[in-house]
Amino acid sequence: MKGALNPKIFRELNKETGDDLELRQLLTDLLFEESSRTGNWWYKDFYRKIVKAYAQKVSAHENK
Amino acid sequence: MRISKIALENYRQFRKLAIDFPQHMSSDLHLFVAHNGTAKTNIINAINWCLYGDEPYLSGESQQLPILNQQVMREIGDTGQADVIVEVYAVVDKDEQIMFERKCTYVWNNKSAPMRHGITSRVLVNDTKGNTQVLIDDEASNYVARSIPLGIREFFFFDGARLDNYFKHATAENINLAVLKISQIDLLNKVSDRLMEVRREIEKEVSKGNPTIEKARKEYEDVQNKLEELKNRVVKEKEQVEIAENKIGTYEDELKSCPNAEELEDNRKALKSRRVTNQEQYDKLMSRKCESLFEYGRIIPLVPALLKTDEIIRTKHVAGEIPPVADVSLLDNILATNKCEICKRSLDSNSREEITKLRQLILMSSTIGKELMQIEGIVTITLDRANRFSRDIEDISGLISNVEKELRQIQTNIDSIDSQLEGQNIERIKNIAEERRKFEKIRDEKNRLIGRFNKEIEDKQDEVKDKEKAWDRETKKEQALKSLVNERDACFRIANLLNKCRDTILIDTRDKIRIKTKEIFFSLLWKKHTFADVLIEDDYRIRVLNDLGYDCLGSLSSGERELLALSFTLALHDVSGFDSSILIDNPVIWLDPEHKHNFSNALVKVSKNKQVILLFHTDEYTPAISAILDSEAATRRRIKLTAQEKEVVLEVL
Repeated sequence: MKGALNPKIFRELNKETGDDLELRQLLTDLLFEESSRTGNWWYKDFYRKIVKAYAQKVSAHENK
Repeated sequence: MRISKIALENYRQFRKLAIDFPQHMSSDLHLFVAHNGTAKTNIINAINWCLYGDEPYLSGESQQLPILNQQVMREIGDTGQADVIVEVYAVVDKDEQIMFERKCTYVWNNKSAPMRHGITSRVLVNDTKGNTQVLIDDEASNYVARSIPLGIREFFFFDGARLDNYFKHATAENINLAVLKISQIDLLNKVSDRLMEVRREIEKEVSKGNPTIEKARKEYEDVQNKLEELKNRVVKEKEQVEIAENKIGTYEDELKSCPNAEELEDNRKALKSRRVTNQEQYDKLMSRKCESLFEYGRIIPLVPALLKTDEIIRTKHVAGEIPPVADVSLLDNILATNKCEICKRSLDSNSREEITKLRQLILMSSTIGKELMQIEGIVTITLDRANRFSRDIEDISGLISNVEKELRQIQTNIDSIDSQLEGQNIERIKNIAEERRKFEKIRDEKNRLIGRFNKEIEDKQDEVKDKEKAWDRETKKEQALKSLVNERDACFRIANLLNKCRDTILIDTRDKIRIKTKEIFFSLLWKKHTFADVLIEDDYRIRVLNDLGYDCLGSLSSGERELLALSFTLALHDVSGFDSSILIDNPVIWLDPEHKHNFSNALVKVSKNKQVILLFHTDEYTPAISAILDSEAATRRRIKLTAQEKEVVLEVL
C-alpha cells in the first residue's frame, strides 16, 4: 500500500522541508511506515529510533 | 485499489459465483441490472460482510435469515454443516494483489436452527516479487481499516436510494472525518500525535535530569584541588628542605675551620668522668694492697711454726698414730639395752664392765683425733694463704699499674682537648652547631612531611582516577540527556511542521472539494439559474445558496439532494486522489430523466480514472441510460434467479 499515499502530502512536505533532505526523508519514512503498519505496539521504538538518528545528524551538522 | 473479482460461496442467494471485473480499453465501468429480490443489493452486503463483518443494506426480512444459502441446507438435510465464504480480490498500484476473505461455518441438526461457528477473516497480500503475506483476524481487520476505513465506506459502497437523506445524516463532523481519511490528512495527524506522544515520553526522561552530575563534578574537582594542594605543599616543603640544606651546608663550612668544640667538650667531660671512676678504682686497689700487706705481715712470722706443726701431723698420719674416730653411740646403746647389738645376747657384768672401759678409752682417743684434724685444717689453710700472698700482691699491683696507666692516658687526652680548645670561641662554635642541629631537625621534619604527602598524593591520584571515571560516566549521561533534549525538540519541530502541512492541505482540499462539488453539481442539474453556489464551511457544513444568496439545502428535491451527495462524493474522490473503487446501488433511482442523463455522463467520465460498479434496478436502467452507458461499460451483466428461485446466476448482456 505504499504507493497509495496522497501525493499532495508529499508536495506540501517537500515545500515545507525545503533543503532539509534529512527531515524530508524522516517524514517520508514515518508516513510510509504508518501507512503500512497496524496497531500501536511498534511505533514508540520506531519513532524514537528515527527521531534519534535525525537529531544526531542535525546536532552533528550544527557542530561542524 | 480496484476490485478484480468477487467470489461468493453459500452466501445468501449466491450458491457459488465468481464475478470478474476486467477492464476494457480505458473503461473500468461495470454494470449490473436486476429485478427486485434477485440479491442485487446483497453484492454490496457481501463486500461489506467480507471487509467489515456486517451487512448495512439488508432489508428487515433478510436480517432474520442466516447468511447461509437456504438451498444448501435443503440439499444437506436435517443435520449437517456448511461454510459461507466471500472473497474480494483487489489490485493496488497495478502490481500488488490482495485477497480479502471472510468465512464462517454453519452447523445444524434436526432439533436446532443453523448455528454459526468460527468466523475467520484473512487477507493475503502478494507483492510483485511473488512474496505472500498472510494476515489473519485482527491483523486482517487492521489491514482493511487502513485500506478502506470503515468510517468512510459510505463514500465507496453506497445505496443511491438513500442518498437523498445523505446530508441529513452525514454531520459536518462525519464529512470532516471523511475528508481527513480520504485525503489521508489523518495520517499527518496520526504521525503528529505520535510524535507529540514520543515527545512527552522523552520529556519525562529529560525531567528526571541528571542530579548526580553536579555532585560528581564537585567531587572530581575537590579531589583534584586536594591533589594540587598536596603537590604544592610538597614543592613548598622541598623548598624548605633546600633552604635547610643550604643553611646546614653554610654552618658545616664554618665548623670545618673550627674544632668540634662541642664534641671536644663532651669528650673532655666523658674523660673527666672516667678519670674519677678510675681514681676511685685506684684508691680501692691501693687499699686492698695495703690490707693484704698488713695481713701478710701478721701471718709470715707464723709460717715456720706452722710448717713444723704440719710436718708433725703428717708424720703421725704416716705412722698411723692418730686414733680413729669411733662411734660411741653404739656402745651407749649396748649399755643402755644391756644387750649386744651384734650377737643379741644379754651382757653379763664382766662384759658390761669391759664395754664401759672401752667406751671411756674410745671417747678419749676420738677427742684427741678430732682436735688434731682441726689443727691440721687450720695449718693447711693458713699455709695456703701464705703461699698465695705473693701472687695476690702481684695481681693487685698489676691492676694498680693498669689503672695508673689509664689515668695517665686520660690526663693526656684531657690535656690534648684543652690545648685544642685553647684560644677558640667556644660559645660561638656551640651556637653554630646548635643552629646546624636546628636546621637538621627542620630538614628531617620536612622530609618526613614530604614522605607523608607523597603517600597521600599516591592515594589521592587513585582517588582522582576513580572520581574521573565517575565524572566521565556522568558526562556521558549528560550528553545522552542533551541528545534527549534534541530529540524532544525535534519531535516538537516535526509535529509542528506536520500540523502546518495538514492545515495547508486541509484548506486546499476543502476548497477544491467545494469547487469540484459545485462544478459537478451544476453540470448535473437541469436547472441552471435556481442555485448560485455550493459552500463548504470551515466546520465542513455543506451549504447550497439560491440565486438570492439564501441557504436552500432544506428545499432541495430528493433528486437534487442525491445529485448533491453524488457530486460531493465524486469531488471527494477526485480531489483526494484516494485509490478506491466506487460501488453504487440504485445510482439514479430518484433522479428525473435529465438528471439521469447528466449523471450517467458524469459517471462515464469518472470511470476513465476509477473503477465504477453500478447496480441498477431494471426500471432504473432506462433505454436513455443504456444508450449512454452500454457502449462505455467494460462489463454488463444481468442478475437472475434460477428457475427454482434458489440460486443467483449472472447473464452477460
